[in-house]
Amino acid sequence: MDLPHVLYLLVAFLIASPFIDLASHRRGLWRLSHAFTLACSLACLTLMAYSYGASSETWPRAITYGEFGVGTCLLLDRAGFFMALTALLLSALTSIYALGEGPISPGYCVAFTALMAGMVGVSLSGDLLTLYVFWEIMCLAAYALVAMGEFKDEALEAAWKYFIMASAGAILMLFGASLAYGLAGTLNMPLLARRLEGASCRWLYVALLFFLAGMGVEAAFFPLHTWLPDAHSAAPTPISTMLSGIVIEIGFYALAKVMLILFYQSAFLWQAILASLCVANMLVGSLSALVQRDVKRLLAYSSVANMGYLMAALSSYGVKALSAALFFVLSHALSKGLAFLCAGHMATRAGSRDLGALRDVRVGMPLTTALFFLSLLSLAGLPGTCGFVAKLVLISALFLTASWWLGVLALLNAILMAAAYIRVVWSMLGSPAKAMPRSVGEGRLSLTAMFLMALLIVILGFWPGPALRLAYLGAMDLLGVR
Amino acid sequence: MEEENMTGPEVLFACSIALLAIGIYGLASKRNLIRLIIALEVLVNAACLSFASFSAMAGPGKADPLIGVLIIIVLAIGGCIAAFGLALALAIYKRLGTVDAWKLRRLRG
Repeated sequence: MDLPHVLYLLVAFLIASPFIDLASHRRGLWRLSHAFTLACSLACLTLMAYSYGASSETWPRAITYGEFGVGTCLLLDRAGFFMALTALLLSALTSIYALGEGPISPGYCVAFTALMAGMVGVSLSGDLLTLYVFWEIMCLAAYALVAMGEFKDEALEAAWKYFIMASAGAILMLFGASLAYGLAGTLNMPLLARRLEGASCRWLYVALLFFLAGMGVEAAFFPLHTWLPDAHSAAPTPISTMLSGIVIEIGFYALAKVMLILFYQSAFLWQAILASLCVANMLVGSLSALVQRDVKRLLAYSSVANMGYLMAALSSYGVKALSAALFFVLSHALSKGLAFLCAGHMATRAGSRDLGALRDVRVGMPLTTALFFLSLLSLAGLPGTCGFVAKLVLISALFLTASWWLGVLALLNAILMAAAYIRVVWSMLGSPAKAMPRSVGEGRLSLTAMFLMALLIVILGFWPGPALRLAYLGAMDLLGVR
Repeated sequence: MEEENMTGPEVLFACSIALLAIGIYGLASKRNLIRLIIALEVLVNAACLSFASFSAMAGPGKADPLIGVLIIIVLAIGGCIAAFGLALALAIYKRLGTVDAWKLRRLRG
């Protein structure tokens, strides 16, 4: 048993999913599709943990299909393992939440399974063809899931915007891959790294720009982020959680992998680009979040700002900063995931995503409100939550590198973002404008999912050691491929 | 060889750059949803042609088999993109009664 088996298992689940989906259309059987995605993510998590414990081989290693350098390959490193683990963990928690809520749309089960398969595939892929194929699986599933949102007009429009921008981005990335192939004659990442070592020509920089522009759409880089607030706020709540919590981070991870392995020789170029874009991302994200009335849009803009931290970490590309970035992804997935679940839970009951409407239902849903505040505090970086550890490790790692000014910037951005979260808490603590006419219930299963997330946030806040160590090993692997 | 005489693969690569430019122009300037999908498909073909030209540069009979596989897979994915886009455009037309991308302006960035 090894990590590729997780991918095979996911593909097997993906083949089975249309039948489950058809069966779940029968009256009273809608729970089947959510139970299927839950079972799928739990099975993959178990297999993953088992294969990590059982394998005694060296990391990172390449599993080739066909002759090395000619066929395709998977690149197994602990950074990819960490990302895939986070993705599956969030999928499992989201599936529990969805199980407590209600049916979403026909085809949900297939698209969700495809999203999981795409994310794990992107994290483990070792050549540009495999990367592109899994990337498209992930993206197509994500567009379809956004289109299933509660308010149909808005959801269709957001899905269209996301579809056009991210598809064009994926194809630009493929064009960049073709240029890399033209320069080195292979698509295999470790081999590309060896053949492009020390290369410096104009076409290499053009390829780099194609990769940055193409993957930057999915990873919400500043001028290309405009689809994100629309798509993340219009999607159904579990999907907003997945998209904001992990899908954009997986996009960013793929970008980091390509930059660190293929384009290590031109680090000066992408370092400068990422450092300047990260300033823009932080400013645009946090300033827009400060003025939002729509709670899901606010959280989406906060994701744009949080991508800025990851870009800062990548642009300094030290092993400490990269491991901090990996831990930040885990912390962000849990905190932002919990925030989206609670906000969506309340917004569904209130029938509106406006902050004022959330204040009106607050009295009827005390537990959800408390968990929402906890997630916001973790996002703001209060001690005792994992958000604090993540920010502490990341900012102190940035201060130790040559680009210490990024650390100052990250600190300032943290203060701005904290102001945005405090504004949410403040506006929700005010007295409700009107009593809610109907009784508002809190779903028991949904609450279970939220409690589990909150528990993980607090546990990682007090005991981050094992996760930090795994992140450190992951960063070592990521830098050690070359 | 003279400067102005390009070999076959180089002509192909130049064509792929031209297709890329056409596709990006189409994405930037067109309002019709169907035309936007066509522009995406032109971009897919540009990427495939670029791969084909680099593979052909190895010389006759030495083309990389992986690239042949890649082009078939990418064209299939291009078909998926077109199918998904058309389904979405149809849903938008049924729901909102328009195929004009500029009229989808309820949401702002």
